[in-house]
Amino acid sequence: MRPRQEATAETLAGVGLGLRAPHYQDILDNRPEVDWFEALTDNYLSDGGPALRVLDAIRGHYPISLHGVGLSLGSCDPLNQDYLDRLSRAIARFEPVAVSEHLCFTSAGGHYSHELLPLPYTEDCVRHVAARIRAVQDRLGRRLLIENVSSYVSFQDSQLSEAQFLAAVLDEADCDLLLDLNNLYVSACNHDFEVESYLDALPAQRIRQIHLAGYTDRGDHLLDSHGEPVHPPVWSLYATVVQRYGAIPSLIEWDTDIPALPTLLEEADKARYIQQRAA
Amino acid sequence: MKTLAELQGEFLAAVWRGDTRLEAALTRSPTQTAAQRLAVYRSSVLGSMIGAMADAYPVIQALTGETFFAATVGRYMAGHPSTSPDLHVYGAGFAQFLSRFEPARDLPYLPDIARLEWAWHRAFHAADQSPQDLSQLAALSPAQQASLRLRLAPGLVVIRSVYPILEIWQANRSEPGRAAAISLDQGGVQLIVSRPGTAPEVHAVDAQTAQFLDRAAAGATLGELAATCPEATAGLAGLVQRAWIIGFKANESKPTSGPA
Repeated sequence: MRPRQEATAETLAGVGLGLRAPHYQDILDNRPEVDWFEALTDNYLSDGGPALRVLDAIRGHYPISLHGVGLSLGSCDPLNQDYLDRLSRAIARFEPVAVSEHLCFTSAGGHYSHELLPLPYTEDCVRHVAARIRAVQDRLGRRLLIENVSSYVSFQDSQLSEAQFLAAVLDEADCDLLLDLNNLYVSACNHDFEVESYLDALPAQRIRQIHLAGYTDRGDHLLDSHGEPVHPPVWSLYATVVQRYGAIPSLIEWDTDIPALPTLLEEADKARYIQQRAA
Repeated sequence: MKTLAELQGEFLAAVWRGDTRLEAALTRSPTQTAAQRLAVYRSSVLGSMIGAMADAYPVIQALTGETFFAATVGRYMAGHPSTSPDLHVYGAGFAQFLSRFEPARDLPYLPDIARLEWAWHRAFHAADQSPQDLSQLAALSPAQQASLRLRLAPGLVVIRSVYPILEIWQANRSEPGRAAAISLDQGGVQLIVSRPGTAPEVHAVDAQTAQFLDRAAAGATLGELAATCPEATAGLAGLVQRAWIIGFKANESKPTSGPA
């Protein structure tokens, strides 16, 4: 067995997989060689139930990161205190190596869309979302990783490029970046911007994790479906990023038409190969 | 220039109910209109909500078919915004909605099935049970015992229906379509939904046991329960065995409301 790059309580390393319910049993029975599992925070915020116990069991064998969709960091609604309480309890229970959320809003006027909706790229919005990220970091007592989302619309009000907006938020909130390369590629195609200049605008020292997933080509746009293997242009972008910034901890996500675990392990092996080739 | 809150409100209205106000605030694209771009979000939101409702209401979906179910969820969404980031709590009002939903009136048992499925869904996510040590009970005097109130399992729900919903529910969880062979005239049922271990369980009980658990949930003392539901009270040990009753509390004020 190849020695595993150890992820520790403090830092992630290597290549992780997004934890999905259809794989619970396989993971517990066969303990695949995976550097860490990323659990979708929102599935583990209930008062009790079997999902929490499964995650306890998996946490016994692997480092865990928590990846959320419900904080609605960019919203103009007050931060949801019940959600923050539940998130705090989940952090205390599962001791995640990293806690991440999306740079987006999901709610307005007290109503939730359950969708990662993009923000206008304005200076006002930078200040707004950065203040909320700081408030959450203070409340949780730890740094957040913020992920760039894929998007299908852009706003006439935007004054900054997406990369400028992202960099400004990271700086003003003093948080880290979870760079989703599939989202970056999807948005670059949908909005016709250059990936290279996007990367140039990012603060390298804040890129702490990478996400990889598959999109679906809908002809007139790319859909961030997470239902296919990682596509060649995204692997190529990954190789560029790894050569430029080193073997940043990287994670494979798959959410629709979820295949058996071995398919995901093969995807993780491809990412490891790219990491090792760049080393 | 709209405020951020206005933009976000319009975005929510666009993805939830197809409102078009946001279109004017979006940039033009050579390949897609603003409406087409928003439709990507709208379709994703519909897909998530239909998926979440199908997770909570798989038997309603089996009974009505995927197309009818999806359209019904769309109609439900129009009058029911999601008010929590937790997707698992969306759909609480579906039974009541179905009871007034004209296109579903040929399936009169549908609202009761929905109540059963919602109870099962909530029990799945309910707090884990921590049964109390009941041995101390024997040391209490009869008067002390009569003043005790009961602690019910978290997530326990009592459901009554004039239809044989347990049979319909069981048949459509395992073999969708078999419900046609179930006679609706065979009478109603009282069900207890709870999660004693890993998986939620559904059990049929007699009317007095259902009444006992309802009153216990509403805060009746053991003495009051013995007076109104004597047989069920005599069978208390069995209810503890089932983990429907998980403890006792002494000398507390009556709760203002029991579990739904």
